Amino acid sequence: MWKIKGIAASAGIAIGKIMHMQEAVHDFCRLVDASQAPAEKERFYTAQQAAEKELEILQERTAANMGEQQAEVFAAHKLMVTDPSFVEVVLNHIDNHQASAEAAVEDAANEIAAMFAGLDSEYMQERAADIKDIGKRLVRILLGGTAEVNYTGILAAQDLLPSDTAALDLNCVSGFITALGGKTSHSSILARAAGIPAVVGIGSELEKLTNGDTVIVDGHVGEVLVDPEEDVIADYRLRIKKEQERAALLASVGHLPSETLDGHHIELACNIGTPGDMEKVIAAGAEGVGLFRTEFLFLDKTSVPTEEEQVESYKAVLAAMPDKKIVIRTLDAGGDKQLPFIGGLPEANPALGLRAIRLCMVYQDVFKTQLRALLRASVAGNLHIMFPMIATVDELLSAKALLQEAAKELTQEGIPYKSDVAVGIMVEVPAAAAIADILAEEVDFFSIGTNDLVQYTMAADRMNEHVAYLSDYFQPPVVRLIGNVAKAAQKAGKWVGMCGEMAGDPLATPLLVGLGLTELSMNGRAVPIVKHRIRQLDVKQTQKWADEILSLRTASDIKKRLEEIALEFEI
Amino acid sequence: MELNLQIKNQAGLHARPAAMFAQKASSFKSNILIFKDGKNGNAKSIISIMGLGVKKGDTLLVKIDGPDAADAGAALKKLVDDKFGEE
Repeated sequence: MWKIKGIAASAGIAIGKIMHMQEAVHDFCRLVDASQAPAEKERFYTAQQAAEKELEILQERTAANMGEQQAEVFAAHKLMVTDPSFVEVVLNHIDNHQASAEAAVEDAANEIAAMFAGLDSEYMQERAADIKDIGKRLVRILLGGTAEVNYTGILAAQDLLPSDTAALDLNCVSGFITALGGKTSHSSILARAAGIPAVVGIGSELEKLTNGDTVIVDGHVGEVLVDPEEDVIADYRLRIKKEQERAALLASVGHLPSETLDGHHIELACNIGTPGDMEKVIAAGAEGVGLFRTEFLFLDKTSVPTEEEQVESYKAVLAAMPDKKIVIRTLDAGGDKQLPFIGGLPEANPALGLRAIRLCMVYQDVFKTQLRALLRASVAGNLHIMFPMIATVDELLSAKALLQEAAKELTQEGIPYKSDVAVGIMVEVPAAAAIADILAEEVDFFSIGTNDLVQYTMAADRMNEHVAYLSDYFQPPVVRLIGNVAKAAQKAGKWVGMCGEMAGDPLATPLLVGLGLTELSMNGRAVPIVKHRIRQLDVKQTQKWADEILSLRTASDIKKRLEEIALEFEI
Repeated sequence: MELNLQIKNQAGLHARPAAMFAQKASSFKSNILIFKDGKNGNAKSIISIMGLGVKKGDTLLVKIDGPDAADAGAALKKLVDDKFGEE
């Protein structure tokens, strides 16, 4: 057995026999007599019409089998076939280079593909494949060929062009391997949409694969195992079976309650960025929103969004789940998210500079408008207001005072709002975690933001790969701070949740429940697996685990222990 | 006539928006050229448009010459301002 490394383009495992896609090699005459030019142009126009018809059929077939979105590429191809720039280049080759229609099409396609390949975006570079595909289609039609092919097993190809993949019967193909392509190439997108495991970008290794070779395509890690031994195959078959069971199980968890074996409810919520995300929150089986980032209203704007505009957005989110908890975070701008209408001086350390609540307390008019909008929206549901980046009690008290002021204004103006809106803070600065007991007296809840908490606790920029080993939420100092915050909140009778990446990591779930968190807010995709974990937990047991983990010395020790614990669960 | 259009949709002039732009431009009689960073192309050609590699935030200069220039300008501006119907 030997291994080929590639790019993991579509998750899943497939076992089967290699079948190379036939690269159509066409011989055609390239040069024609100048007097033939009109006839060659006619041939080109006829082929163009035939190509349009083929693409029409492909578009319909793909829409029916794979959905409208996958079919859009053929609509684009149809446009390209008749594109004035493309046609101009083709006709120019016929007129000025005595090219046959085939040669003119091929050369024109290659020239345009080279132009796309020279652009600086990966997406555009891969569009070179589209135009080459069109060139091949036209050449085939000019030579009188047909499009149908049948492939089964693991399909190996240089690259899978859209028309290749559309002509495939996907029920017969269990995996893809390609020499070219990246995560956003057609073959990868199609493989993901069809749920077919794929490894792309293996380069010249492709030539070492022979038709009939047994291979395992591991689309999780981007590996192809060639000629695997029986025991390896058996091992992977078991993994396939487990994956299928897991998928079925997670699909069934969806609308079951998020409750531990001993009856404790752990609220599972989602992080969202715009009101449009609410559909996904509901579909994920979540129970509300643990973090609504309001920046979308402010970034990309040349002026401050109006109060009305904001009220409308906040109400849209609240009204989508009127009886559920919706935590809306006030503006977290500054640092790397500059607001065009505020400007501001460049800072040497933006992450440690004037951002979030610090910025809001300087631009109080902007902040107060947001607070007024939030209060006005509160009548639409169960609003929780959350202040970001709080480091001191003074900051919290000033923010709360401004909220009071906004409320007073609304009262005077006779505008309705809920007077009992819950107010909390995001705990993401170690300073806040250290005085959690003091802050707890002033809030209704805490939500721990692990991404920044890790960055500030470990003093490691999370974008800097050289210090990536420090950017780990399983680092003991981070885990201990989370424990401190939870303890302080419990003592004061306030709830504590988490809205960072850690909240959606099923490995961390037993630890977080054990530390006393009662709300976890995550990406919608993570909800089913985390919920399934929670449904297998006993809170007493998790508390014992948490105590034990708090005494461990390194991040790897903690991870190792959590992996052992994870083995006790079904998945 | 000439106008500047700032591209606001997330994807820039990718295949779908480029196709919409070319189709809209093709529905007018006028000649329409687009310019970006010293490169230019035929606005009725999806290939020319995509070849400019236009990203979100880029500004295009559009030159329209012909009987329905004003209508064409307004229609293209609306398409761009509506972010090609993207979210």
